[in-house]
Formats: sequence, structure tokens, C-alpha cells
Amino acid sequence: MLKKEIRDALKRFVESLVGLFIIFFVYIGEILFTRIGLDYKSLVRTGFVITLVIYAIYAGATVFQSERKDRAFEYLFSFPLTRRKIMTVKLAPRLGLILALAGAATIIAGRGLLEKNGIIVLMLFFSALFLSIGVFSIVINLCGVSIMYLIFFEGQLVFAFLLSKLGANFKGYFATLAPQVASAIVLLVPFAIAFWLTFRRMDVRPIKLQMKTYYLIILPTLMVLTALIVVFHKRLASGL
Amino acid sequence: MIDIANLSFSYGKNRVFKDFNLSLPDGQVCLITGINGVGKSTLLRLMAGVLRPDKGTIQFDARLGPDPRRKIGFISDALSLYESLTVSEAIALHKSVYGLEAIDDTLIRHTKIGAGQKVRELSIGQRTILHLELVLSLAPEVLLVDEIIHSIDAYLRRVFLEQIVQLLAKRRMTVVMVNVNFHDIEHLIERVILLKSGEIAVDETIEDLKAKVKKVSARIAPDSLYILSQIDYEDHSDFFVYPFHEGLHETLQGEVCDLNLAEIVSAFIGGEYA
Repeated sequence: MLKKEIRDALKRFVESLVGLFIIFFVYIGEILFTRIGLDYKSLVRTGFVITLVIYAIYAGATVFQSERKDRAFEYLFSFPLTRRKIMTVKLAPRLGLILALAGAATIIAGRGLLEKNGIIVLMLFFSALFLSIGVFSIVINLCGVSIMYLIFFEGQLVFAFLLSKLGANFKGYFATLAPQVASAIVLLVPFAIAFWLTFRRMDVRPIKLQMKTYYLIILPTLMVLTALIVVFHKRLASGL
Repeated sequence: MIDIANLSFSYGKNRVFKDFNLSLPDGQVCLITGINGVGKSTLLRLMAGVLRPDKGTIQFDARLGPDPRRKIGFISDALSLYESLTVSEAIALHKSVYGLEAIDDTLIRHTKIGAGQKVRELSIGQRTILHLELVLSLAPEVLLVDEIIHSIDAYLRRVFLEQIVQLLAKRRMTVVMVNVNFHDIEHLIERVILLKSGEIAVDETIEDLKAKVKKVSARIAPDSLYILSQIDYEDHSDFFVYPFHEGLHETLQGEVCDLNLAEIVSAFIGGEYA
């Protein structure tokens, strides 16, 4: 089982390397045609960030793709494996590859890359993963991830403000990390609960018949978080 | 022993079972039949653990361990396998999940299935063979077989059924079959269950059923018997009656004939559609 999941994760990884190819062609174009002074190192750094982001979303969104494409949910659920074990086996190679890619990026592009983007990459991966249970299309999943990223982004501004108001003055790396972590937790925990409650009881009935709990959790969560962000911005605009 | 108690299950608003009860002792070979959509395959899926009951329990004998799925062989009509894998990869996956050292490939050897072929490239018959082989390799204590084995040819079907007979001779395996080719399995079946509207309409041993369901060829309908279904001819009709008992021979006008399993099931199902 783990071997199959490692193979799946590697397949998605190779497909995601398109980010690095884009950078390679941009660099060739720069040498041959544009010559606007693009720096090789910053191009490599950008390439790794793009690849990391593409892979994180792709790996999360396609976690059940082989079961969907192969109509193998019935086979999977007939295995004497607990749902926890199934998720562990599915997540381990995907998270492992994200960490490996992040490690390689850190070696090539420097520590700053992960400091700024580490939480974002994980947030994108888990967003895509938690959406994947009810969203079949990768394009729709990407739209959902974009909305979640917007909420996360706004959320970190809110938390940065709140933390400073509370007198928690983080410095350096933690000044960026703390609001990011807080925002990611507030956004992802309800999604994680909705995902797990649905997956834990999932069977081979049509998926739309099994999504009640999921929607009952995530729709109010999205509405409440959006409302809080709007209220925060309004109050910020009016000088609080 | 499989003990189904107060089972309720629905697909959304479409209720299939409500407070359904069934008990299958160890080592029994049982046929579940009924008209299309009555819940036969759903019942197998519930027993296999790939569907979860809305209410009620399905309990297996303690010797099957904490997760009975390890000892349940389920051959579904969906033939669900990872289609993008090759045959050898699919076998390796199955071996790793169930901790098997080898797979008995008696059935595969009879076919032209190549180890490097993708599962999705196999014909339905070949996929069924692969599925059967994977399931039988588990040495299952409970074997659940949906009607899919119609799709393999007569020779391979015989080889498969011979394997089941061998397994049954070795140990007390409980076998539940749904609408499998009745001629092929008649000698194996011990109990017949007919489902109707999510409930058990008939539950008899095969001997009792054969004694109780008869065909009466007569000009007029026998008024003292419940007629399941009938076929009309120009000069007479065939009445399929249930329950029949030997004492009725003297009072009945017409010829009384025994029926085989296929005819019995057909008589019941014909009555459902009538």
C-alpha cells in the first residue's frame, strides 16, 4: 500500500516539476532575447517556490485521485485497514516529498525561502487535501484553495494586529510565523474536523449522500471567518 | 457465524433495509436472490464492510479477529481494483495489504492474463478471474460472491467452483452467493433466501424448497394452493405453487412436477413481476 502511495506521490511530483521547466525557459529567454538583467539565483528561488506551491496543492488535491479514476474505493474500503492507517499511508509520502523539496530549496535558495513560505506551503497542501474529499475536479479544488488562501492571508493580517494589540511582540522570524500559524489553525482546524468526520464514516455510497456533516461544518466556518474579516477591515478603516 | 441484527440502511431517501435480521451459521452455503434492486448486492456490501449500516449491527464469529475484513473474501459486481496498476503490481499490493507470501494462480494460469498488462486493459472475464484469485488467496472464512461470475466462461466458472468445493472440504467456510448461475451452484447450495422489499420473503433449506415448490400442469388453477406464477398454454397452464405438501397429490387434478433451483427462483421472481 505504502509503495503504491509513494509511486503516486512521485508521479504527481514529476508532473509538478513543470514550475522548474518554466523558470529554465524564462532564463534561456533572458539570455537569448530579453536581457533585462534577471538574476539567476532569484529565478531559481522563484522556480522552487512555484514548484513547491504547485506540488503542495496538486498532492493535496489528488490524494484520492487513483481511487476516483480507478473506481477503487470499494477495493480500498474492503482492506483490513483503519481509516487512520489509510490516511497515514497516503499522507506520509506526500508530506515527505514536500519536506524534501523544501529542504532542497533551502539549500539552493537560502533559509529565507522557507521562513517566508513554509507555513503557506503546508496551508495550501492541507487546504487542497481537506477540499479533495468533496471536490472531484482539480480546477474547482484550485478555486477553493484560492478562496482559502485569501481568508488565510487576511487572517494573518488580523492576527498580526491582534497580537500586537495584546502586547505579544514577536521578533524576526516569529513576527511572520506567529500570525501565519494562528491564521492557518483557525482556518484549517474546522476543515480538518469536517474532513475527518466525513472520511471516518465514508463508504461506497455516492459521495453527495455523505457530505452533510462536511457542509454543515465548513459552510458556517467560511461565513463566520469572512464576516469577521469584513468587520475587522471596517473597524480598522473607521480607526477601531 | 454472521449475525445481522436490526439492520437499517438507505441510499439517501431510498430506504433499502429497515430492522432487517439474518443469521448465517458457520460453514453454510447460502443463496440470496430476489428481483433487481431489492438489496441483494447492498446486503453483500454491508457484510463486506464497504457500506456502513445506518442502524443495527453485523457481527462475525470471534475467530475472524478484530477486523473481520481480513478473512472476508468479497467478489463484487463492481470488480473494484486499481485499474491503473499492472496485474503484477495489483497482486503485489494485495499481498502487502494482507501480508501474503504468495498467491495461488491456478485460475490466472488458465487465461492469457499477462503480468505486465494494466488491469484496465483486461476484459471483464479476465478481471473477474484476477479478482477471484486475489480473494481466494486470502483463505477466506467468509466468501461473498455477487452475480459477476456470470462473466467468466463455463470452463473457468467450473474451475472456480471446484476451488470453492475444495475450500469447503478443508474447512467450514460460510459462502453467500447472489444470483450466481443456478445450474452451476445447485449442488453447493444449502439454504435459499428470497428478498422482497428489503425483507426476507422466503428462507428455506434447498431440500425443503424443492419439496414445497412444484409445478402443477392443469386446465384450471388449483384453488387450495398459493400460486406464485403461471405460464398459460392453449390447452393447459403451468401453475407454480408454494407451499406444496405430499398430501395434496390426491386432491389435485393435473400433473405435479419437481423443479430445479433455477425454475424455483424463476417462479418466485415471476410472481414478483406479475
